[in-house]
Amino acid sequence: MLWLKLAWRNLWRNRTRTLVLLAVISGSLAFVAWMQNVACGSYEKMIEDAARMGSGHLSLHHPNYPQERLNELVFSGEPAMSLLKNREGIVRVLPRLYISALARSSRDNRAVMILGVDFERERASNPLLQDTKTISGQIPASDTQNLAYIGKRLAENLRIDVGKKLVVMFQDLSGEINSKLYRVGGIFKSGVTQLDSATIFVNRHSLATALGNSDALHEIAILLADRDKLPEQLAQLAKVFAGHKDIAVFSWEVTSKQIADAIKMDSAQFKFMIFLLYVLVTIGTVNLLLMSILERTREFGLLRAIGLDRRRIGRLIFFEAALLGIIGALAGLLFTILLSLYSWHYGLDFSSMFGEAEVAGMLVSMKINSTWEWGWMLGLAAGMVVVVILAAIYPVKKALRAAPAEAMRHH
Amino acid sequence: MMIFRIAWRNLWRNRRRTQLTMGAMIFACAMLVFSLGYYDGFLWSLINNATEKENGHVFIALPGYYANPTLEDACSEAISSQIPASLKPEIKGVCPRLQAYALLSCGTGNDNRTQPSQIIAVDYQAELANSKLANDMVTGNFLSGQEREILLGQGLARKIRATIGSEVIFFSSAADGSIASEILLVKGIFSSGENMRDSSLAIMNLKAAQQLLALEDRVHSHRLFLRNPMQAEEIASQINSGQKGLEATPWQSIFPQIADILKIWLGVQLFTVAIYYAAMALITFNTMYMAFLERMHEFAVMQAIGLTRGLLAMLILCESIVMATASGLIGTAIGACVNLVLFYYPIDLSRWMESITWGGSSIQPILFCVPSLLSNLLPLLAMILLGFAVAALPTWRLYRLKPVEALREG
Amino acid sequence: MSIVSTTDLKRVYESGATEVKAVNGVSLSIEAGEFAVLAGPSGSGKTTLLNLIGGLDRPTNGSVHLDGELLNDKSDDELTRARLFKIGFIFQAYNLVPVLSAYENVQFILQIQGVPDSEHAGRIMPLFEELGLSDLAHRRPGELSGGQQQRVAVARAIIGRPSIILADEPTANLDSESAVTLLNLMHRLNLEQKVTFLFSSHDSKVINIAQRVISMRDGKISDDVKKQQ
Repeated sequence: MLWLKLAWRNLWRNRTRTLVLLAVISGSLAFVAWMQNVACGSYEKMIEDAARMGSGHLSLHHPNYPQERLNELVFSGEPAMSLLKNREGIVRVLPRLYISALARSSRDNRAVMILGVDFERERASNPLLQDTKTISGQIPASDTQNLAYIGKRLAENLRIDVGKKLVVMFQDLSGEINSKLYRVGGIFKSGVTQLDSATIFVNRHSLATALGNSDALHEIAILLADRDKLPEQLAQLAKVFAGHKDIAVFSWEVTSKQIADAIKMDSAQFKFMIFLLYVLVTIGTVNLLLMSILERTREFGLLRAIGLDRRRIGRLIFFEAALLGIIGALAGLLFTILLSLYSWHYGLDFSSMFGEAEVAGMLVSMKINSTWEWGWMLGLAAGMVVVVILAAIYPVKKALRAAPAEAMRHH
Repeated sequence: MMIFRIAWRNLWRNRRRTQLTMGAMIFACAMLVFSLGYYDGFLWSLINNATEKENGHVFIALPGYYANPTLEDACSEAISSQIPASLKPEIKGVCPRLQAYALLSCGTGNDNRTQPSQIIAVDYQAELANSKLANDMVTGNFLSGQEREILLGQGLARKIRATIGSEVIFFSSAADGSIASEILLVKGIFSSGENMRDSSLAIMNLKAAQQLLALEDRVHSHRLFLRNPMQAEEIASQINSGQKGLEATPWQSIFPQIADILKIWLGVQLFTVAIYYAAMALITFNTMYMAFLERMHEFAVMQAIGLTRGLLAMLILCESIVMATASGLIGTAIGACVNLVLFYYPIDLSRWMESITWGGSSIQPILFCVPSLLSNLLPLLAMILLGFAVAALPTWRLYRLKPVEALREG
Repeated sequence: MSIVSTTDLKRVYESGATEVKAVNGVSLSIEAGEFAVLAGPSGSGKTTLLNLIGGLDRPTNGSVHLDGELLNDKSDDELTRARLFKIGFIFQAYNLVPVLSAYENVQFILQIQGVPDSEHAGRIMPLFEELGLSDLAHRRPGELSGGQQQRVAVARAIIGRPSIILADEPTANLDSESAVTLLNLMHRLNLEQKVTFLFSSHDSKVINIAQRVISMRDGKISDDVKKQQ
């Protein structure tokens, strides 16, 4: 206790110096920890959006489909759907068919992707298939067989409007080129170029029939209640579908690899910044301890003269460093919590700066609500304490090098 | 002047402290130069990917074609006469293009594979001279002007199971409404790193496409490649004001998100500077201030022997600026070297990640820097400014210094 | 002619609730060419009086005239200029600029006085010769003994041709041999070059050599004796 008191008082002997260093430690910590919370908030949002607009948290495909994306790599929908029914932790299953085709109107033609979907199911979870995105007509009802829901840009390019005809040509499962006629039931504008200019949503069954197998699917997207349970769910589903040669389970990290990579890239840049701040804090701490030790060389000589051994003096300085680190880290955590409270509750809106960014084929909202990454926050704080204590090594060595008599003569 | 000498020697009085402080400053400055270089590299490759590879800097076509391209809206192949002579020195080259959609199929019977594809038809000589299309070849060769050549994207080739030398059937409708069909030979396979593009794009010769699509001597667009991409908007507006028959669209309108970033780029850079220097500024301040407090007595003596406070302030400023400038120069030099190395030898990260489409272009998986003048000068200037800022408080304290009291303490 | 004159000079320090009257009504006049010492025990107000005369401190009451000019009205920067041109300071702790060599310490004054560089060596070297510092010119203060440092301090005080040199306990940190050497040097400068000195000291060696001894006690002058020479 006496040691602690001594260390504490020594720290406050030069108030400005200690306060500035505390500001550096707590400020750096608060900055990185808060940024981490904000970044994780944006990742969270990206992942959720990617899951909802794309292939879900988990998805079922033919084992080669994610890699090859060929029309012929289908699997049977019915058995898979029934196995997924009523499974715990799954909030939604979305069966889908993806077919690349040539869309032709009387005026022009375009290479497109036709998505065979269950309109009712999609409406309940897919942010793209919402009435707010529809600019004319409407989202077709589930049981309509030949209505298409198409992107605005595509409609313009093909010069067609609601009610007009549209022919899609694609290769069916038997290898024949098949044509199918649809009528435009609704036109949407999502803001994503790829979707608006080259995507057609139609009824899954009508498309599957035209493909030559009315039960064929390319994907079942699965939304989980809790993304933290993803690894367990992945393992369980893999077990469930182990007997099905034509079905494999994939996570969003595989099916939305671009999003996963974008997050990886972003967090790598972030780690670089953390490293940078830690180095600066280290240098700052070494500097401060060095200054305060050089000032006290005489005092240390005196302490040694009255019988304190080197180890004890070293311990005293380490105590000071640890105290500095811990106070700085606690203050930093407090600032982090205050900042995060704001960005968690109100969110940070960058949309005036960037608008809505189109990243990796999806729309990323620039309004970010931070999350609470307690593991990161505490880890960064602990790291800060360790860094500060490590920074004391050199100054301690320096302080102990001087012999008592010599140290006392100094001044 | 003696003041500089004193300032310089004072810095080395507490050698370790100065070394540490300068170390922090050099480190922060070098990292900052590197980061800004990396940002510039990022933006540069984003713009390059968007423009140089395929799109070009200015898109010239019939009015309305850019917004809503259709097969029959083709303009004359000859463009030279339509561009004001005054603009010609700014233009590196022009690439004429046709664009169409077709079904491509390969193989027979059960092995037949058909895919809808986007076709662009190019003048191979113009492309070799101006665009970077030919850089993407992974197998085979770029077009050479021979008959019936076609290049396939890697994903597309895989989908229709075509390899070099395969026969590919092209099937589409021509501009006059007739059926356009031809057998083509795969000359090469390209990969741009963008999966979406590579799995639907094919490239063929302009002459062949003109015949096939019944568009003799006509093209859909002319792509201008400029010496300075930043002039695109200005040149497009000059062409638009002079010409009634054609419409020019600069790349900034085609990739608005990239143009938006460009607009706030300086702000982004300054923000980065602020973040990188904030912690360091405090550390430097701490050191300078402590060094100042230690020497209070000395300053009092100097006042006693006749140095005015102005001169003393200059002394403090001098020390701070010398330290900041020296660190800034060293740090900038180190950072610039790193940038130069990464400019000539970018590090390939494709083992860890794939390219990410962004705002119509793509972010490539490489660690690449562009050493621009601004990214080198900004950190240096900011560092020198910091030197002034750090000296501010000591100077202020100096003005309140009572020589008698400081002398008594000594 | 009087170089320094003070009338009813007072300086009161407030230390907490108590007032300390460091200088309490001193009227004093120093004539050109004098070699005078303020004698008295520590705490008698010698240093405060020197600081007031040197314009380092401001009086609570009374006035200080230096070369006929009233110091009270001057701004801090004007006082600094007055010190630069009219006063040479010698401190007990030498207080040389540690990063400058002996020569540079002295040259520093000429430089801030604005004396052309070409004249520096011509003025400094004879003085160094006189003070026995010629061989030490390029050493830094840390490489000099106390007596040598104090001689450099004397050179620094005298080089600007001030009207008066104020020396606060100049011998207190020196051994007696160095102290005697230093005092003899200063005395010679006084006799040969008519430099005016005002010391504060309780060192008997200083008091013995001084031509005028002003004794202080509790902030007041208790005795003022001019020796006949």
